[in-house]
Amino acid sequence: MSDYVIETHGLTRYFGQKCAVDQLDLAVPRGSVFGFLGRNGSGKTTTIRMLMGLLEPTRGGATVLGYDATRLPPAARGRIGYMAEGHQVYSWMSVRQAMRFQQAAFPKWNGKVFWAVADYFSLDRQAKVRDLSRGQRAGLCLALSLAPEPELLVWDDPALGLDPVARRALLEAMVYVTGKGDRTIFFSSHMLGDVERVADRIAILDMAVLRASCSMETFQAAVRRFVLRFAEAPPQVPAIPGLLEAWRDGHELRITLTRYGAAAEGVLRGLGAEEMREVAVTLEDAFTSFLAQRGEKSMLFADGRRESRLAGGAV
Amino acid sequence: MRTLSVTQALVWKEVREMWVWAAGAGILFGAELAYIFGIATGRLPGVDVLVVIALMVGIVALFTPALCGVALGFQQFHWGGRRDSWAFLVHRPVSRWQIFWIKAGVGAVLYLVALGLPFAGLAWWIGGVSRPADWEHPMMFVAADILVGLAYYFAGAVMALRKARWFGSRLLVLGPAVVMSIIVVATTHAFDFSPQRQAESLWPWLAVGTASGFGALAAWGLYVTGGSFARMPWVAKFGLGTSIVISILALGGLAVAASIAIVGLPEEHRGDFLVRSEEPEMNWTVSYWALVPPAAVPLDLGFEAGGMYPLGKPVLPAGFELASWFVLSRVELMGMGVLAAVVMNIWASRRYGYSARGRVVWIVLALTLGMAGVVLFWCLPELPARVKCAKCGRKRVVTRETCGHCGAGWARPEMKGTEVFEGV
Repeated sequence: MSDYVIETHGLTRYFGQKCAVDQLDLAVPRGSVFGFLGRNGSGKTTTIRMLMGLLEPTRGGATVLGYDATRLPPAARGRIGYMAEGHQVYSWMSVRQAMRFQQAAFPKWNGKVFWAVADYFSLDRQAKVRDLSRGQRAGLCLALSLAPEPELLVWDDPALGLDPVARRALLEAMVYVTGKGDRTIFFSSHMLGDVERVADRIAILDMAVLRASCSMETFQAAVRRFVLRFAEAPPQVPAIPGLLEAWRDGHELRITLTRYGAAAEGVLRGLGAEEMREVAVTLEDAFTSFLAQRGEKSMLFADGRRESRLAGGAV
Repeated sequence: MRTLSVTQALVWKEVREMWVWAAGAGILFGAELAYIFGIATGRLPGVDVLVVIALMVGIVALFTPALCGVALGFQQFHWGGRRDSWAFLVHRPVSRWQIFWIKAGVGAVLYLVALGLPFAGLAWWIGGVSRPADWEHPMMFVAADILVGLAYYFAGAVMALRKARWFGSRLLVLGPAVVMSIIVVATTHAFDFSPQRQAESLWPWLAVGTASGFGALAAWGLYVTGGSFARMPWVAKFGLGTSIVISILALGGLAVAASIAIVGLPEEHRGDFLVRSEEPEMNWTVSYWALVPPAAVPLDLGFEAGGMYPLGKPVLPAGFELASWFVLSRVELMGMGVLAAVVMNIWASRRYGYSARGRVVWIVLALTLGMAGVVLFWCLPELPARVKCAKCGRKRVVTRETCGHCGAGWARPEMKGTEVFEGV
C-alpha cells in the first residue's frame, strides 16, 4: 500500500488558451490533513475536479487511492467523501430525504455519524434544503460526506461563503473528524486562518503553479520578516534572494522573505540601517505575503499623500 | 426506516424532478388532441372539418411530440448536468453507466406516459362516438410520431450534454430524429399497428429504434465522460458521429432543394422536385453528389437496381441549362468532393497534432464520407488549444508532450526563488 493517497505527476489542464493548472506534482501522505491553498482562480477547484475524475487532464495524470483518477472504479469512489464547492445538494429534498438518497448508494453508511453532525448544525430532519442557511447547508454536506466512513475526504472550499460563526462550527466539526488517525483529509481554502487550525501540511497554488508544499511549521519558519530603521528615507531595495515584499513606511522598511540565509542577510546588512530587527509573522500574514504581488511597496510619500504602489524589479 | 436500493433512490429522484415537466407536456398534447377531436365531432364550431383535422393532426402530431421530446431530454440532462450537480450525482459507488440508463429510462418512460395517456384517452373516446372520418389512419400517424419523439428526447439529452465549441453544432444531433419525422410523413401506412400489418413489416420499428439508439449511445457516452469526446467509448462516438453525419447530409439536401427552388426548374418539373419523380432523368440532386459520401454508393446502386432513384440520376433535366463547366458526372463530383475532403482532413489533423493512427482515421472518414467527413472533423472532437513553443516559436497543441515541429518538451513553470518545498 502506497504511503500517499493522492499523487499527481505533471498534472496540467488548459481551458482554451488559458493554463489553469501547470504541471502539478503533488503527494498527499496517508493520514495527513492537507490544506490546499491559493487565491481565487489559482486552479484549486480544477485540480480537485481532476482528482475526482470529473474533469479530464490536458496532460499528466494523477492517482487517488492507487487508482488512475480518470478511471476511478465505483468501489474506490465509495472510499472517498467528496464535497463540491458550493455545497451541492438537491434543494427540493428534505434533510432526511437527502440522507436516504445518499445512504442508498454507500454500503458503509453510518447513520450515527450523519445525525451527530446534523444535530451539531441544528438541522431539522424535515426541513427542505432550500430553506437551510448556508452554514446549515455546509453542515449537511459535511454530514453526507462523513457518514459513508470514507478513508479519504476531499472538500473543495468547505467554508466558502460562510459567516465566521458557521465557519467556526464547520472547522470544529473538521477537527473532530480528524481524530481518526488513518483518515486523510484534503481540502482547499483561501482562508489560511481556517487551515491553520486543522492542517498539518499545506500546498500553495499561485496562478496555476505550485509554489509551496511543506508542513505548516516549515512554511511558517520559511517566511520571515525584518524591520529596518533608517535615519533618513530608506534606500531603494536591491535584489534580495527570496524577497516576497518590501514595505516602505516613513523611515522604516519592512521586508518579508523566504529562505532567509547568509546571502539575504548580507544584502540586508549592506543597506546601512540604524537598526534591524526580526518581527513575528502570523501564518495569515505569511500566506498573504506569499501570494501577494512581489516587489517593493510604499504607503506614504514624502509629500504626505497616502498611497500604495508597486516598485518593480526588486526581486 | 427501510433503506432504498440504489435503483429505487435514483428512480425516485428522477421521477420527482421530472414529473412536472412530463405532466406539462402531456397536458399540452392532450389539449391539442381534444381540440382537434372537438372540431371533428362537431362539438366545436368548425369549418371544413376534414381539412382542419388533417392539417392539425399533422402539425400537432409532428411538432408537439418532437418539441416535448427535445424539451424533456434537454431539461433533464441540462440541469442535472451542471457542474456541481453532476459531480454530486456521479460521485458515489455506482457506475456512471448505471446512473445514466436509470436517468434516461425514467425520462423516456415519463415521456411515453405523458404523451401516451392523452393518446390512449382519445382512442378510447373515439371508440364511444360515431367516427367523423377515417380515424384509424391519423391515429396511427399520431402514435408513430409519439414514438419518434423518443429520438428527439435523446437528441435533446445530447444537446444538453455536449460541450460544443459552436452552439449551433449542438443542433446537428437532431438529424436522425428529423429524418425519422420525414419518413413518418412519407410512409404513414408503414405505421399500421394492426397485428397483421406488423407481422409483415418491422422496418418502421427498426428505424425508430435506430434513430433513438444513435442519440441514446451518444448521450450515454457524453454523460459517463462528463462531455469529453476523447474518453467516450467507441460505440458512443459512433452514435454521435452518425447523428452528425446524418444531419450534415440532410442539411446538404435541404440546401440543394433550396438552391433549385431559387434557381428554378423547367416549367414541367416545377412542384415535384422534392419527391422522387416518375421520370428518372429529373435530377434535382446533381450538385448534391459533391456532398454525398462514397459510402452511400452501394446503397444508391441498390436503389437504382430496384428501379428507385432516391438521389436522382446524374443527368440534367431537359431544358435545364447550366454553364457547361458545371455539368459534371456524379463520379466526377464525388471524386472532387472526396479529394478536397482528404486534403482538408490531412491538413487539419496535422494542425491539431493527431497521431499517425488518428490521421489515418480522419483520412478514412474523408474517403468514406466525403465533405461530410470534413464537417465532422470540425464538429465532433474537442480541438486542443495551440500555444507558442518556447523553443521554436511555432504553434503546438497543448495535449501533446512534445512539440510537433522541434520535438521539445514543455518547460517547467518558472520559479521565483521564493518557493518552499519540503519532502514528506
